[in-house]
Amino acid sequence: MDKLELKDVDKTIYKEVLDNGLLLIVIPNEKISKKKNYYFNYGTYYGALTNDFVPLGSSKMTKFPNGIAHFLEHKMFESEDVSPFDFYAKSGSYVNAFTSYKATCYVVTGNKKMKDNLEFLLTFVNTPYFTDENVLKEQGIIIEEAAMNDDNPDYLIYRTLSRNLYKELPYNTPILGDASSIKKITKDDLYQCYNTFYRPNNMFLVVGGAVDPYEVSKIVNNTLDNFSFDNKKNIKRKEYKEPLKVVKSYELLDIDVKVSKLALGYKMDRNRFSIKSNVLLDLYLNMIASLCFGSSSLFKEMIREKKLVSRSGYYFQNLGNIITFNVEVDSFNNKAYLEELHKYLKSLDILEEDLERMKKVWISSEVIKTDYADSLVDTVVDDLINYHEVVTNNVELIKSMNIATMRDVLKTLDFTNEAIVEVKCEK
Amino acid sequence: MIEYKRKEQGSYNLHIIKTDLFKTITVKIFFREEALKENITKRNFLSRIMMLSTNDYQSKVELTKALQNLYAAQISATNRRLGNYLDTSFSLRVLHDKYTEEGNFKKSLELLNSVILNPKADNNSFNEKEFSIVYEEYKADLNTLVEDKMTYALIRGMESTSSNVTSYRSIGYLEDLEKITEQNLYAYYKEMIKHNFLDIFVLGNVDEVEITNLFREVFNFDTFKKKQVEARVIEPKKISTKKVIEKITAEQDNLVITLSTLGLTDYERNYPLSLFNTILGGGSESLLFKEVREKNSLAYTISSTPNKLDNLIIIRGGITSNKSEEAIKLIKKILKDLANGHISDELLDKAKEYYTSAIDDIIESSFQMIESYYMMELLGVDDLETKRKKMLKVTKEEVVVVAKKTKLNTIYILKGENE
Repeated sequence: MDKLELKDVDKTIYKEVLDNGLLLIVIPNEKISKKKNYYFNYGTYYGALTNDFVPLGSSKMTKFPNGIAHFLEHKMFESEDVSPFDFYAKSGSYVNAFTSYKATCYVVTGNKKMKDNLEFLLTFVNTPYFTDENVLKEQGIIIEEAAMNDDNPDYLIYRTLSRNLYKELPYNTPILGDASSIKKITKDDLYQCYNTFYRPNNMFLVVGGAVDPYEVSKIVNNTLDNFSFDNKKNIKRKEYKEPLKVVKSYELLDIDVKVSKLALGYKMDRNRFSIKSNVLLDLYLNMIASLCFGSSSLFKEMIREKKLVSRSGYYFQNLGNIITFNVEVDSFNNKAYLEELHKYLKSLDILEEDLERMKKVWISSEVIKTDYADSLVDTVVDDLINYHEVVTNNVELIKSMNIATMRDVLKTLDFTNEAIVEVKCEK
Repeated sequence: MIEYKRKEQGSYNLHIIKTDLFKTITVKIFFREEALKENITKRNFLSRIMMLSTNDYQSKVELTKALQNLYAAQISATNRRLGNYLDTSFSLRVLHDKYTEEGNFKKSLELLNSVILNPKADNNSFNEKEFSIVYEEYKADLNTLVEDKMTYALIRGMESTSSNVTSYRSIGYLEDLEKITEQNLYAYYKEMIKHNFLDIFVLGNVDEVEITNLFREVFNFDTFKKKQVEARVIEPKKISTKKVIEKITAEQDNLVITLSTLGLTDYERNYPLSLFNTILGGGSESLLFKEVREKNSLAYTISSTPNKLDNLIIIRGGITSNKSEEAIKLIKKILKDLANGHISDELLDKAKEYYTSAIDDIIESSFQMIESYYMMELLGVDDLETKRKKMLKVTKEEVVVVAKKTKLNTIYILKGENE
C-alpha cells in the first residue's frame, strides 16, 4: 500500500490498486481514537449520465432506458439467499446506495463485525440476481419514488430547468427516469449494464474510521479472489457535444405554490477559463459562490433587506466542457429580484481581504473535517467521482489562491446563455 | 477519554464533557419552559432574529464575517417541543485554540454571549427593520408548509390525534405571528432569559476549572426559575380510534397513524418500547418496511418512531395513490400479530444489535453526545453503558407486553388526487 499524506491536516491515507484494477483507499482513525464506527463506500463510475454505450461483448453503441443505473442500484439488493438489508441488520449496521449522474455508490456504516461486513459488501455487489419477477416488482417501487419527487414543487422546477438548459447531456432527464422508461427496463438490460460497469477496473472502494489499512487490504484481496472478472478496459461511452446555447430561455410553470419561485441556469464554455486544473478551477468557482452570494455578501443582505426573497441558493457545476451557474430562489417579487440579479452579475467583484478571510475559513474547515471519518470518506469519494484522483494538497491549493487569478476567473464568467423557469404564486 | 462533570452554578447547570475525541469545542445552551401554545411562534421568531445580528454585530454580514474570522466558528439555534416543555438551544462549535490561536475560544464565547444577551434592540424593542425582514421570511415559511406534504401530513396527523400539548405545531402559527410586535417579542425575550431553565454543555478537550471561570466571566445569566413541570405528557384515560381524510392535489397519499402507549412503566418505556418500535418500523429490517414496501409495493417510504414523552408511536408512510386502505389493513394485521406474540428471536436480536450500534454511534458526533447527556439531565434516563446492558437483557415477553399496551389512536390520510 502507498501512504499519502493529506498535507497540513496531519492525516495519512493508504492507497492500493489491486491486480484486478480496483482502486482501494483507506483512511484510518488515529490509533488512540475511541471511536468505533467504520465507513465503506464501494462505487462504480456509472450513473445516470451513461445511457448510451457499447456493452461488454458487443460492438454496437446501444441506448438503454432512462433511469436504468438507478434501477440497477435497487436491484443489487436482490439476492438468492440472504438479502443485504437482513445481513447488515444482524450486526446493527447500516447499508444503503445512491445513484448520481456520474456514479453509483454502495455504503455501509457499522461498529461491529468489520470483516464480515466488508466481505459481504464486496460479495453482494459482485453477485447480481435479476429475474423477470423481481424486475417487475421493483418497477412499482421506483415509480412510487418518482411520484414522491413529483409532489415537490422545488424538484419540479429543478427538473424543468435541467430540461431547458441541456440539449444533449443526459442531465436533462431525471436520475430516476420516468414511469414510461422505468417500465421498459428488462432483466437483460440490467445484466448488460451490470457486466459493463460493475468490474473492478471501473470501481473504487473507500474505507474510513476504526480500521487497520493492512487488514482491510487483506480482506479485500482475499474476498475478490473468489470472483473472476472480465477486465476489458476502455468502456466506450457516447460522447456528447453540448451546445452553449440553452434549449429554452424562458418557461412559466403552472403549479400551485404559496410563494413564487425562480430557477435560473447559465451555461459557459469551460475552455475559456485559463485555469486548466479542474480541482483548482472548482475552488475558485466555489469561492465566488461563497463570497459573492453567501451570508457574508452584501448582495444577499441587500435582497433580504429589500424583501425580495425568502431564501436563495447559488452554485456552480463543472460538467466537462460546460460550466453552469445555478440559482434557486423563493421570491416575494420575481421581477424585482431578476433586475437586481442581472445588474449584480454584470459587476461581480471580490476584495482581497475577503478572499483571505474565506481562505482561513476553508483551511479551518479542512482541519475540522479530519474529526469525522464519514466526511473524509465522502470527500475522497467526491474527488474520485469528479477528478478520478484523491486530492491530497487541498490546503496547499487553498493557500495558493490569489486575487489576480480570482479577477481573471471573474472576468471569464459569462452570463449571456440564460434559462429561466418561473412559478408564480396566485394569491 | 470521556469525563463528565455537572456543576450547579445558581443561574444555570454547567455540564462539562471532557474528551479528546474532537479538535473542536462544542457549546450548547438550552433554555426551556413549560409549553404554552401562544409562545411557540415567539420562540421561533426569536431564534431567527437573534441569529441575524446583535448590538455588537449590526448586520448578518458583520456577524458572519466575525464568525469567519474566528476560524470558521459556527453558531446555530433550534426550537422543539419536548413533551411538556418548549426547548430552545443556541450552539457554538469552534476549533480548539491549539489549532487556531490563544484566546480564540474566549472570543467565540463572547460572540455567543452577544447573540444571546445583547440582541439588536433598543428601548425594549427589537430593531424594526430586522423585525420586518424576519417577519416576512417566517410568514413565507408558514404559508408554504402545505407544500411539503410529508411534514404537513405529520402535523395534521398529530392535530387529529388529540387537542393537548402533543398537537402543537412546533413550526408555529400564522395567527400568532400576526400578533407579534417588536415590543411584545422583546418582552417575551426578557422573560425567557430571566425565567427559563438553563443548562449549558461544553464538550471538548477542556479544563474544568478554566471553563467554569470562563463561563462565569463571559456570561452574565441572572435567572429566577419557576417550578419544574413533569416532562412527560399525561396519558389519556381511554382511546377511541378515529379516522380523518383530507384531500390535496398530489401523486401520492401520505399516511400518518398514531398509536398510544398506555400504562407503561418507566422500564417499559425506556427499554422494551424501543425494541418494539425497531421491530415494527425502525429501518429497512422492520416489519412495516418489509411487508408494506418490499413485499407489497404499496409505499416508497414507511417507518415508525416512538415518542416517549408524548406516549405515542407515530407511523408515517408515502403510499401509492389509492392504496392507503390496503396499507392500513396490512399495518393493522402487523400490529395484531405483534400483540399476539409473533416475534421471532431473530427479529428481537436484530433490534438489540440495532440499538447497541446506535449507542456506539453517539460518540461520533459532539452534538449527539451532548443530546444524550441532556436527556439524562431532563428525564433521568440511564447512562449509555447501563442502557446497553439493560437493553440486551430485554425478553420477548416484555416486548409483547408493550405491544399489548399499544392502542391504535388515529388514522390520518392526506389523500393525493389529480386535478
